[in-house]
Amino acid sequence: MRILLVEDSEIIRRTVRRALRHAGFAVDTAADGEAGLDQAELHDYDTLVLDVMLPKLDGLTVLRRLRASGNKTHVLLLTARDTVADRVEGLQQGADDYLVKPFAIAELIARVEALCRRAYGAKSSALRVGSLELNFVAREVKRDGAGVDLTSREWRLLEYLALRRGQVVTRTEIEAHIYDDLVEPMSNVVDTAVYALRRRIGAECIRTRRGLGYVFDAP
Amino acid sequence: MKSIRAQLILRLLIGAALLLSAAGIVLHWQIQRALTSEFDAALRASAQSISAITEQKSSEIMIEFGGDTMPQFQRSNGADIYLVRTLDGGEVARSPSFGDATLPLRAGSPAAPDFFDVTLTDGRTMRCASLRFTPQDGEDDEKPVRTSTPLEATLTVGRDRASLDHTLGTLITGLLVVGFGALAVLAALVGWSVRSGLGPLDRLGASVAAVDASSLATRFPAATMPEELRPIATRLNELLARLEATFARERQFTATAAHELRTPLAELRALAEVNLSTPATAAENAEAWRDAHSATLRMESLALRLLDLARAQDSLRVVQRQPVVLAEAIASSWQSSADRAAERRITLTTSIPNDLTVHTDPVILSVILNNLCANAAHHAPTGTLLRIVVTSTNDVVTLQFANAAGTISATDLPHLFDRFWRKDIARTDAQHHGLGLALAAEFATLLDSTLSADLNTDGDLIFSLAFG
Repeated sequence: MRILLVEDSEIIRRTVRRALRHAGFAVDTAADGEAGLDQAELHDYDTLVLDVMLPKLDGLTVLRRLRASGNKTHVLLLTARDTVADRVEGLQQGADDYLVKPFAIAELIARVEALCRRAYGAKSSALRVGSLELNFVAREVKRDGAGVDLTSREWRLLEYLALRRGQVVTRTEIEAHIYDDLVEPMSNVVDTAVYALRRRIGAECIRTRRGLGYVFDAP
Repeated sequence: MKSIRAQLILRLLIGAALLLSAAGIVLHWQIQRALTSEFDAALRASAQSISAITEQKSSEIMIEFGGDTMPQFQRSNGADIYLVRTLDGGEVARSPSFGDATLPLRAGSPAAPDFFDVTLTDGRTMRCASLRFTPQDGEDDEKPVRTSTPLEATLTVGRDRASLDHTLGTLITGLLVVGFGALAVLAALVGWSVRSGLGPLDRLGASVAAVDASSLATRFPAATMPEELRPIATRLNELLARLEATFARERQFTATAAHELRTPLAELRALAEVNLSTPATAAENAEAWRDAHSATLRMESLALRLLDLARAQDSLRVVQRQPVVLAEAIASSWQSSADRAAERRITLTTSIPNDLTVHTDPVILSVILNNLCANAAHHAPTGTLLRIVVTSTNDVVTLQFANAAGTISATDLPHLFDRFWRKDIARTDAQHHGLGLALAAEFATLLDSTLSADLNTDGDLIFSLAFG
């Protein structure tokens, strides 16, 4: 899942990015509203984490312009303003969630995960595909009832494929949603990651459509 | 006694009791005087009657009661007595009712008898009238010329005054009964009047007692209150309005201060949680400590600013005035901002009379000047000029700090001295809290001076500090 974090506090920006990356998200960052709007319009993010009080362009204006342009990316507003009126205004402008500073990193990650799942229409926190059982909240996967150890990145890849179950997912989409701007273009990082994942959970659930991409579904 | 109602009732009742007592005493005295006068008149008439029937025959004085003349004196148990004596005390005649008692020998004239009270040996208290008179000549009518020497005698007539004393006693009883009755009625009337009269005060007191921090919007209906309570209610309403504004201001201030703390707190919390939950390289660890240090410094700076502000508002703060040379004070304050000004290429020009002094507190003044210099050094557009001009006119010394206004517009002027106000609502500059000018204004008030801000037509922002 690829996240855009727009936050003017350098410390929060750096720290939250580190935490989200550790949780397996691909994270891009922006330090002001204008840069955040540009990046949000340029890339297809799964979730935007948007501070309200931003230099150049405040968060609510960024949100309003995104919605006006038809961008439906889920947005989590991050702000020090905690009154009911502030929250109502943020939600009315098109935000999907609201988190008040100071916040718990675990809560931020959980909310971002929930928004990412909602981005693909998945409301349930569990999924069963063939012999695989996925728990999105616990970030667990079982094969024939036995737990499978995955790295964060492998889990994110599996989660993304599972959320788009039955659909062809292109390598570009995987790159865009699982990896951030640090990944070299034209690298075979996706193929390598899919190969590694198949070794862990079995190859039968991830089928390759030559020239198109991958499909995750029951065998 | 602290109760107004009890004091009023007690004082009114004491006053009423004194008035009733005085009225009763005067009334009793008047009636007693009238009754005694009437009693004495009857005695005088009796004495005159007896003296009229007292005759001198030869050298003997005699009284002849004929028939039923003055029968009251004839009864042995009668209430009236008489005693006729010669001037040397020799008894001539006495009434049967007198018994064997004696009386002091004293006498007035027939027109003005001597009245006195005496208690007889049998216990009776008599009111007596005593006079000195010359009995009529009792010789035969055929002898027109008195042959014997006229004698003088004293006559004392008395009457038991039991009836008079009884009447006076009944009068006193009546007066006491009426007096206490009137006092009781007055007590009830006064109590009711005071209670109903003080009712609005009670209701106002109850309303005031019900006011607390959550009901400062309460206002008392001064227009419908009694005239005496109207100024109190009006002042209370004004006080409540000021309290409400102060509470609202303090709530807003607390909320803003808390809001200012949220960002560094969020940074610290995020740093702590991320470093506790995720593995970090040595570089990441070092960076986290630097970030934590930076966030802590900002919180410390905010706390110190808030402390300064609280001190500025301390009404008990002692202002220690002494002559301060303004040129030296301004030069000293500019030094603290000179480095920042140099970084931003802010240059300073001054026009300050060398020997001009003001009588003020040098420490407080330095805080004001430091903040004004720092404000220009940090917020004036880069590469611009700060002009400090000091003038003295009609005993008013004015310090003006003028620099290019930059993005500050006329609509910002009313907010420049607000706590936590910053032009950049995103608060991008985390090193400043928007408290410096608020602090300078509070301190200016302490020095009985005024700090104001204005924009001139050249687009300059001018802060003026005036000492009157």
